[in-house]
Amino acid sequence: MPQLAVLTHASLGGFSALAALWVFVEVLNINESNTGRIGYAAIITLVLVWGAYLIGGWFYVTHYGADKAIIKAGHWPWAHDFFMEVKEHVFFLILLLATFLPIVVKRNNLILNRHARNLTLAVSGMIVLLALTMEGAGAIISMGVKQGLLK
Amino acid sequence: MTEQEQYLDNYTQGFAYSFIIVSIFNGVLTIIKESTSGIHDVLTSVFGHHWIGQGVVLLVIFFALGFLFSRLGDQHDARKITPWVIGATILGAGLIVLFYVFKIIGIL
Repeated sequence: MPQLAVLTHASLGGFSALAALWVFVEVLNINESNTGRIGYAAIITLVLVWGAYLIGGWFYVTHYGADKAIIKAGHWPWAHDFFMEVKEHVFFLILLLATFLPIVVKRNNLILNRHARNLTLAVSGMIVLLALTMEGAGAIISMGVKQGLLK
Repeated sequence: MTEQEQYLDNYTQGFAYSFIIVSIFNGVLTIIKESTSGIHDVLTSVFGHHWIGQGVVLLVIFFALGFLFSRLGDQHDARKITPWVIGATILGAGLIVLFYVFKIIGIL
C-alpha cells in the first residue's frame, strides 16, 4: 500500500504537469471554441495537484520516516537533506498556484483580457516547471533509498 | 479599452495578492521553522506533524486573505500582477532552496 501511494503520488504529479501544459497551450491558441476546454483543463489540474498532495502527504507523514533513516545512513544523505526538504516545502507553491488557476480562468474573459491571459500563462507555466522539478526530486529521493539499501 | 479588458476580476486580483504574500511567507516560515524549535514544536503539537501544520496555516491564510482582498474592490493595474506573481514564486522557492544549500554547505 505505501509503495502504491508513492507511485500514485508521482503519477498524479506527472499528469498535473501535463494538465497545466494543456491549459498553457490552449491559452496560446485561444478562440471562441476552446474557452470551455481551458476551464476543464484548469479544474483537472486542480484535482490532480490536490490528489498528489493528499496521497503524497499521507505517505510522507505515516511512512517516509523509515525511508528517511535509510537515506540518511546511505551514500546519498543529501537526497533527503536537500531534495526532500526542498520538495516538501516548495510543493505548497504548486498547491496554491493550482488552486488559483481555475479562479483566473473561470472569472475572466480570456479572449478579451490580455492581462488575464498572461496571468494564466504564467500560473500554468510555473505549475509545469515546478511539477517537473518535483518529479526529478522524487526520482533522486528514490535513488537515495536505493543507495542506502545497497550500502 | 473596456473595463473587462483592462482589469482583472476582483477574486482574481484578491487571490493573486494573497498568493504573493503566502508564497513569500512560506519561504520565511520554512526558514524559521527549520532553524528554531519553537514554531516547529507548536505546529507538531497542534497538528500532529509540522508539515501538516504548515500546510493548514498556509491554506487558511491564502483563503482568508484571498476573500478579504477580493472584497476591498480596488481595481489595480492588471499589468503589474503577473510579474509580481512570477516574482513571488521565484522568491518563495528561492528562499527555501538557498536555505537548504547554505545548510548543507555548513553556513547555517
